Amino acid sequence: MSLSVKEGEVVAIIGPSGSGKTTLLRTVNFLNPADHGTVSVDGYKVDASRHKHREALTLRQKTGMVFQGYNLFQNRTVLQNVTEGLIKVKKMKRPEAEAIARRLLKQVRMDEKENSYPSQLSGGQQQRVGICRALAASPKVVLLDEPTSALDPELVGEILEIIKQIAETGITMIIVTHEIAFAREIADTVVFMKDGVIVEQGNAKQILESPEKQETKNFLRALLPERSIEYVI
Amino acid sequence: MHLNVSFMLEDFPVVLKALPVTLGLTVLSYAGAFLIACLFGAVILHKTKVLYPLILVFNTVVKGIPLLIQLLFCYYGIPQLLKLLSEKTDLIRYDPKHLSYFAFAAVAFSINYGAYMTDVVVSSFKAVDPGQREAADAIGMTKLQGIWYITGLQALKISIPGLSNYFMWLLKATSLASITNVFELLATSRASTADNYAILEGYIVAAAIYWAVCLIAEHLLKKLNQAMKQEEMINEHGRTGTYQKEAWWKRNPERCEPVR
Amino acid sequence: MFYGQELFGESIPILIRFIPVTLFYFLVPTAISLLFGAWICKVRTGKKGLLYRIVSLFVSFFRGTPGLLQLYLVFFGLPQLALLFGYNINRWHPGFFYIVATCLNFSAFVSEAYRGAYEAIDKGQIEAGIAIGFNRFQNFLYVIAPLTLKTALPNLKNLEIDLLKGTATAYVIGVVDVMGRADKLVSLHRGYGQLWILSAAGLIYFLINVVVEVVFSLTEKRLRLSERSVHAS
Repeated sequence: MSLSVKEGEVVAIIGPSGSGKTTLLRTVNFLNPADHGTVSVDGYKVDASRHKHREALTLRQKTGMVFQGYNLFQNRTVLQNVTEGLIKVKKMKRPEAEAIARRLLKQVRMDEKENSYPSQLSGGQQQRVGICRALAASPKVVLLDEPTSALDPELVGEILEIIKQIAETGITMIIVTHEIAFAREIADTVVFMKDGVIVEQGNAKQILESPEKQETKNFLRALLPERSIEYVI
Repeated sequence: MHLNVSFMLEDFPVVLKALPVTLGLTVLSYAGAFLIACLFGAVILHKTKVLYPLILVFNTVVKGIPLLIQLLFCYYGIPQLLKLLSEKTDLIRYDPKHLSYFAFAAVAFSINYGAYMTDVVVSSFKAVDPGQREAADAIGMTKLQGIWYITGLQALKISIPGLSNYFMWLLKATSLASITNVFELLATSRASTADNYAILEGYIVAAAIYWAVCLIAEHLLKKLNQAMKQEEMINEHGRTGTYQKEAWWKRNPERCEPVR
Repeated sequence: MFYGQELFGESIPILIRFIPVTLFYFLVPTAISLLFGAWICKVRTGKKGLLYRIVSLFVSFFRGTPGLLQLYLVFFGLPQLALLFGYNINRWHPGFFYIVATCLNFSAFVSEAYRGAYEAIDKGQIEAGIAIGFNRFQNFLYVIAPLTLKTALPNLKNLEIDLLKGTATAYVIGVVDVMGRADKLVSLHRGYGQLWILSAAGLIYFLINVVVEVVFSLTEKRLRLSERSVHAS
């Protein structure tokens, strides 16, 4: 399979669970290295079948990732979670890193909690910090792995709102999501996956409203009514 | 039964003077054991070729043989090894009159407890949420950075109950060194009574000191564990009053508290 | 340092004959301590009267001092204590003193393993036992004891293996078991091939250890299987 994403494009990957969406996303930053094939970000090309660890590290510096389970560093405060990568990986000076972190935290209204530890925060708050951490190193592409599926329903809206704001700044994004209505709203391109292969990809509106393949139709029909009602509320 | 109480009072300071030897042997052996546990644990977690099965076999053998035999093995074996080395190389000089039985005992205790503590290190690392390592990877940290800044510290915190258990065991186990010419508490108490046949009295004095030291050590370790737990409690129900809902996919990390 | 290897082969058949002795010093204290430990546990989980205090002090002492020292205390102290009551046990077999010392020490540890397990079991089970009309003895026999034993089994396994290896120290008061015989062989050869004799003894202990571990693993497996079949039916 092949997937290319233009600069500034927002791609949503949808599909039934177990279809390999998350795995596809994680091959991009080599959390799950592909057996073979190439990953290329911002002109930096890595061959998965014979990659060196150092190459994977370089690639990861060009990407940011938001996890389904937040995965904030439990032994670090909110501020330290965001500055960790800047200081330890990008070797930035602490005041400089903290300035960047504070600016990002302020955008997601988490600046008042900068000295809290992750376990003191609600899921929604943790995910907001997770988004800041992913953005801190100004990555070329942000990977979001079902960023809202671990959240309580009433908190989903605020996170989606933040992601929408970030998408509007023109950053490249690949997002794995179950929120079809949300995908329609922010994505330029939608990719539908099933059983580990891309069934259909193309313009978001076209895929979601008039899909060509029967599998896509079935999936959307089963999902859409319920989801859209939820989103209207 | 007539215990010579006045002798016991006299003997007390004499035996107490050997307490630093017992404590020194404990701390030194514990440090060695911890070092071995970390090295072995790294190999096991990393599944290094050749070394991994070798260490598993070594640890199984060490754990399956009485500590006393290992202690005697070091007691007889290390001097012979030193002698052999001094004959083959000029690096060391072998002097049978100045052998450090203290050091030989420390080697035996380090290896024995290192094998047990390896299990604690391994299970503690496995108990750290795998998402933590993934997150460290995702922001581009090297493996070593991830362990040093993120997962290592979390694993250490998880391992504290298990590691403190082994400290208590080691503290008592060092008394075995009295068999191999190390003048720690037990050997000193026996030697101090050899002249006046008050053997039982000497042992009672040693028992009193051991009991007190163990109670103090246990109390201090309990404080440490409580401090750790309290910090966690504050984190979980902080002043903000917010809480973290336990996510369904997070395995409840099994705290390892080995009891031997 | 490798001289004397012929002693390895020579000492094994000699030492093997002492396996029953080692097993005797392992099994007798085990049997006594499992019962005595249960009584201690009963006192320690009951009313906090005088008996509770005495027993707690007993447990604290035997857990807070080295086993080797306790062995010496019993070996030198018990005859003097018996003399008070007019018995002369000075000439009794050293094995007797080893068994007494080990039972005291091991019961203290076993009682703590029981107590931990007893406190961990679901108290609803006990209430359920009372509810179906068991009397206190029946409730203990059919509900509390099996549950406690099952929960304590992993800890008991570690303690038993420690006890087995601990029998090696019995030689310091003159008990001739595998280790005692090995020590005699070492003195007999005046330092020649000590390491080989010790290795032979080590091998024998290792093999006994393997057998004990297998027995415990099988017991654990059977308990788990029986549980599963109960759930299935």
